[in-house]
Amino acid sequence: MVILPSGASLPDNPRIGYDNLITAGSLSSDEADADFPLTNLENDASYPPWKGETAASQNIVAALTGAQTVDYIGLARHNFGTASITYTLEHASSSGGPWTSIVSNSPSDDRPILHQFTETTDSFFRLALSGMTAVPELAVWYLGQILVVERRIYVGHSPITLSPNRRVSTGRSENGQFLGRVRRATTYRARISLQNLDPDWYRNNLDPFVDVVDSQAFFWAWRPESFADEVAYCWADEEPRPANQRSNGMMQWDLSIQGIV
Amino acid sequence: MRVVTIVEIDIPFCALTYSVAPCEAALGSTGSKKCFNTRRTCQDLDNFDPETLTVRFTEPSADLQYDALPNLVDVDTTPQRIDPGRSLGERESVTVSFSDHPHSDAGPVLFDKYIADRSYVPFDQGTFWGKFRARHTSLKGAALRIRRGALGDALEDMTVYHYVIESMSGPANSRFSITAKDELKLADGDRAKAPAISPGFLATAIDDSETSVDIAPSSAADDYPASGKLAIGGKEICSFTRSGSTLTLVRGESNTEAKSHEADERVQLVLEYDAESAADIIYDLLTTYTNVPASSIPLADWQTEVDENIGRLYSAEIAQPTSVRKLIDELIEQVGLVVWTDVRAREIRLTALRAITTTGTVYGVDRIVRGSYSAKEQPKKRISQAWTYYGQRNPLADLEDEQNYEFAAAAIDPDGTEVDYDEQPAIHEVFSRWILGTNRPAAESLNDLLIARYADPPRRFTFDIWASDTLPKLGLGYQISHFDLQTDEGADAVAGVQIVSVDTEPERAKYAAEEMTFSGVGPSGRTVFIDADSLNVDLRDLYDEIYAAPSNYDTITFVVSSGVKVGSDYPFDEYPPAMTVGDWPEGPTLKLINNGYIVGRGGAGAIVDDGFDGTDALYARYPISIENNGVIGGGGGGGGADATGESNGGGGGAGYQVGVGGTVFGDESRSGDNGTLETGGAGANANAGDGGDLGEDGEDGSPGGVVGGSAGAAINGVSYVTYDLEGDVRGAQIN
Repeated sequence: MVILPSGASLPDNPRIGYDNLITAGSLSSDEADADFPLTNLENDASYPPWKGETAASQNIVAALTGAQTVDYIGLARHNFGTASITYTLEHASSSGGPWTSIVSNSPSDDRPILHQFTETTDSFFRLALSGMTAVPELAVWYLGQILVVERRIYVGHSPITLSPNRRVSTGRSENGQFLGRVRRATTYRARISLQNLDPDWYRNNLDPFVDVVDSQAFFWAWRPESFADEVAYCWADEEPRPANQRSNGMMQWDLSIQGIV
Repeated sequence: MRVVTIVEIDIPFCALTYSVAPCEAALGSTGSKKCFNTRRTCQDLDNFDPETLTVRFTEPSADLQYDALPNLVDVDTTPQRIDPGRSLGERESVTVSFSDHPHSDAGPVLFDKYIADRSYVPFDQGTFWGKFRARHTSLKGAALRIRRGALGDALEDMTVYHYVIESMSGPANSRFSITAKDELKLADGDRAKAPAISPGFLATAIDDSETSVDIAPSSAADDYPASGKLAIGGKEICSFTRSGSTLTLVRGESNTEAKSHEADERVQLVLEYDAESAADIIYDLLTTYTNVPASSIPLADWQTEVDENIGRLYSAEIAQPTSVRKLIDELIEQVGLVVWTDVRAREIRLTALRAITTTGTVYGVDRIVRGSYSAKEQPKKRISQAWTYYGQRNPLADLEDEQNYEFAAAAIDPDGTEVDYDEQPAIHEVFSRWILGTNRPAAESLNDLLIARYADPPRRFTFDIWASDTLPKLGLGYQISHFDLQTDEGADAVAGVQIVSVDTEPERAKYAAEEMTFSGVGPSGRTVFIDADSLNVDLRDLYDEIYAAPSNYDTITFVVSSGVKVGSDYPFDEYPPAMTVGDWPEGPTLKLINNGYIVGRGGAGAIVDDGFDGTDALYARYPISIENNGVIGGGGGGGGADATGESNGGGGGAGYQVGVGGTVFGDESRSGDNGTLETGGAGANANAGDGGDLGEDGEDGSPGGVVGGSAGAAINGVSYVTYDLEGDVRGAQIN
């Protein structure tokens, strides 16, 4: 789901969460299963995850390289819904605190989360997990600055959460009996088409994303306020290329993606 | 149905910690970096202490539920092919392909214990399979398992297929693959020979009469037993006794000539089998000379199968290291066996080459997947004449030279089928080192068996069955029907087949089956086996599936195999016995050998009234002798309901099918328990009656007026029965 701060500007403009200040060695936690250590949270792979050891309240701390400004977190491949976990994002100027709460949420399911909040600048950020009924799991935690797309998406877009791609085999017998259907696997695919982009906006905001999109996964929400549940954790299928759309220099941009929803 | 495939690999990892005793590795001394707890990277192999850790892989999918790396791309199986009465056939081969990707070196199996000591970030350097390949020289011989099930199934509830890894390939183009085979691959000649090569040689030259010689080197002496036979220089076989390094010889044994030998000529121990069951010989070959674990061989089942169907003993002297596979192929052909790997049970199966009773299950056009059926003639399998050479003269001479055999037995198809093939004979020759010269009956029986099975060459059928259906099993017998399978009047025909190949895919299983066409006399007189759980068996119907009409002089034996259950089916208002002897003409002698369970259906427990009756186990109105090594029991009666008027169900009676407990829908606490195979189920409360055990009536409901069901009889028609062994019979024996 997408959570926006109250009064967020351009609430229905797409959000892309790719900026991530969490790097290898920057995390510490109260607990970590020996077979699912914290290093699993320091990359963009959705498997294997980090797992705690118990169902007690526990924290994961990100130590940034100096004070940094952030305004979103992305969480994927977690069990916060099924394990009734409340997460609270906090910040401090030192690893020992004192900690100040930024945002808090109790997800109702295990789907990807893109949680935007008012910009906060500090050196340490903590994800405090509480209220759980089972051992927590989390594979992806992004912390950084959200990219709000200049224009909304209108007609022609297939939201990725509504676009499953299922491998199905159907059985028919020699005399025409229906023998059943077997589904092998499901993936989700979509195409992002952005149009009428200001050339300066594209070069200053979207092009840095294009630089990393071939090597990094990202969070994507196409219409956050109207369809808050339609968030995916995605990766690109191809290398995107912009094109000049109009004679006034406005640009268009397409990207084929797959993701988990 | 959403199907899931999970691949498991057992990988050896050292249980020790680097530089912690007993590990003597040390940075700067044994290596410049810590190991990865693998044999390939170990810096103290003397103390390498492997433990098996299991890694799991699955297909990438949005609904991933299992702790498994989602990099599985494909599982491609080439199924094993059974070759009845000829050889071990072809091995099952599975090639598993994976995608490659970055990896943190952590996970369900901690690949790198020392991540914190590395100078690099594992996720940012290299790929999963690139690092894996560098850390593991080879996984040859490691276990690989394929699990298939439905999404949500617990791992232990999935169907598992067991293999042994043969090789790895990659990574290349972001792909890595592992090839594995079924366990009988371990018998191949490139890795298993019997006898093993002997290390010794003659210390000095000897002439053709000397009877004492030393073995060199002296350290090799202990590889030779205190006595036996050996082959010197591949030219002469001697009997010997040994004391230290000195051999005392009896020259020129086994029809070889005493010869002069030079120093350094090899001294090879001869492997001898002397009047042993084929089951024991094959067991010894596999467990002594290959890495097949003894736990994979149900030896008792093998011995029973061979004793009951073959009943002969075999001998051989094997004077040269010989492929174990070749030796087993010889026995399969010369004894008349079928051997294959059950990759699901992780067992090696052995049956005699005999008619397989079909289970009565027909796979027809309602069930065969569209477009998958085919039928192919196999004219090359035809045998109209079988010639067996036996009584081998010289174990060192050419196995396939007729001159090396003292005796020969020949048989020509008694039904004269050659006339159907333009009088062209189809001759099959067997050169048997395993049949002694004194064992003519074995040679003649082998000839009869081959002709009975292959005089009419069996057709080969292929067909697919959808995964949601009850799937046929490898090696067992079934019936198939199809529009294209017709009688001479064009009516639909049914063919009895034996499954010889199964390729299991997530959505379907692909089968190859051979028609069972035992003509004339069967391989062991007229014996009918019940190898699978069955309901409402009629012995005459079973017999008619396999053999021509019985003659006055036939002795027909029915065998319920060990572990098999024969019982009764529903509906409630009918009471069919588990087994009926059936209608026979006057003359044939019938025998029943029960090694399993012949039990009636348990009576259902009542809800508000009397319990239901169990059914009879065996119904006979024709003379039959019985050797009961298992259990024959009437179905237990169902328990009466709670007689106070409260709805509390009685327990179900024991049997197969079990008696269902009296069920109050929506309230399990007031429902009686189902019976089990031998024990009746409990009533829902103290007033509801318990179901009867095998042969026992169900308990009445309390406080009275409601009675438990009556037990079925163990034998209905005991006046027709003669006991060779009465054994465990539970319940009344009447009429």
